Amino acid sequence: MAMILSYFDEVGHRLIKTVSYTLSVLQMVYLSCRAALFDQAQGMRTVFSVVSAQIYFTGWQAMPLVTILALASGAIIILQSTAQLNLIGNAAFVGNLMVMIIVRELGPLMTALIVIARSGTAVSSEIGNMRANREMEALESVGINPLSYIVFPRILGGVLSVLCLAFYFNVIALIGGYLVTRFMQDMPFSFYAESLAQAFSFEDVEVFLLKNSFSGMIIFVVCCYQGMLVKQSAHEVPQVTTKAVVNSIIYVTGFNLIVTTLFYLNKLMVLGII
Amino acid sequence: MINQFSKKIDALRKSKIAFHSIDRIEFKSIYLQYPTNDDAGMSRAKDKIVFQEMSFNFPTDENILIEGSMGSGRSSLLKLLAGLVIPTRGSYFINDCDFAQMSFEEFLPYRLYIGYAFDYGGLLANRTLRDNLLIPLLYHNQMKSSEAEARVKGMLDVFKITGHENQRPASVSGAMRKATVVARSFILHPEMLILDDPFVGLDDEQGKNIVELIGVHRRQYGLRHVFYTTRYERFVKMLGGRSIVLANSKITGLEKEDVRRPA
Repeated sequence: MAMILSYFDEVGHRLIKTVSYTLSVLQMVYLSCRAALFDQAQGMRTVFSVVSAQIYFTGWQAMPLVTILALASGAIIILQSTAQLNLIGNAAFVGNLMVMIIVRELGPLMTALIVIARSGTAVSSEIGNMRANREMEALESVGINPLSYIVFPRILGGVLSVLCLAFYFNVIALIGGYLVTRFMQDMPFSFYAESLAQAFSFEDVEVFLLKNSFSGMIIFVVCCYQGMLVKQSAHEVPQVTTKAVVNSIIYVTGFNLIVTTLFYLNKLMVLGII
Repeated sequence: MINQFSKKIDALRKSKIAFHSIDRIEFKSIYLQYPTNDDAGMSRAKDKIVFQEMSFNFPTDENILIEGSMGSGRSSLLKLLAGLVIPTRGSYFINDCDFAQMSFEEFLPYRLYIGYAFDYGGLLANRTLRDNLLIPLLYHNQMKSSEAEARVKGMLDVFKITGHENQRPASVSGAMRKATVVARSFILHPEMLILDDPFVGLDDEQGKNIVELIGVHRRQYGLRHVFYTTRYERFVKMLGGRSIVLANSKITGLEKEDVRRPA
């Protein structure tokens, strides 16, 4: 009995911790948006310079890595699926498979993981070091709210970068992947393009926007929050960075899973199965 | 919700319009405690109590030296005055407003009238020295870029940073970083200036320039209250004024005009 009670105690403790963490993160988002959008005294020019820098580091500099991963993923899925579909005589379904796997699932997840690995760690450690080096205090001392000057532009730049990177990933995986496999199989491009065009629907755009915008927000909000948790010493920076990466991966994959589940439940309801 | 936002912004605008100058600086029963920085539970350090039940009405319109032994809380007192640390308990009044009860936005109009120079660190590492001075002016949308550039250039000349202004803090000497931090505290033309060990690492000429700049700002730009710490007697003599002594987590008293310091 004592063991069961201690188990429930542990579960309850973790649940409270998770809820309070989420509420604190949401509070930071609210305060940073309020500070950035409602503070009439500040000029937006300095904020936008930080946004553009964030887009450059997160979006532009990640493009070579995204290109390689998108080409490889697209090519692998085309090769594997055409081999299997040809066996059952349904090669025209390659478009459906590509849209389902690349656009709805792999694109958002791979992009998010790349951004977490490259930029999430960078943002978290940068903000952590700024806390340790008293740069946040310095900003406050001249009346600059760190939430509007440091946090808000990073979240905004991060969300825009993730959306653009995910779009780029999809295009490269769908088109580039085909071009790479062109040397190994003889599927005509017109056949492949028609199959893709038939597979696309408006729902894919909705899922794309929903998954990528929220993934971007989750990554940068969690990483900024973890960075802000540094109190005064540089030895805390690697600790918060590790936690930022772990929490971002858990939240992003969890969010993607929930959206996918709801999407397919909705499909089943439309078809009248449930 | 939107109505609440707009009410808040209206209140903020009104407070900015109503605020003209800092006439009263007072602590009431201030209690300040720093928590131990130990999430992993690896240290035996206890929470540090810096100030207990500290009440004091600070003198205004003069240069005030904060004195005390190492660890007596001089830097913490200056941070409290600058609004960079929120007291654990108690009230910090600027005029009739209690800082301890104010949000960042509500305190902003006061903060723009307070210049603060750190004892170490405090420069944006990914910005040049020039940008570190320029950002406060551009961020608050108070002046045109050309005016801000001119003000920064003047400050760079006074502190002899010209020629190094396009370097980042990590690429210049400690003295240059210190000079930039002190220069930044003057950049918004503050009414209350708080200098935490401003002369450390600077040569005598730069130190004299700071003293002269305080005089210039008093005469021309409305500087009224100066709080500082230093261990260099020669600069204390140059600045003059009275001193506040810290001991046993309290301000033990306000020293009268010291004979060693001509006003």
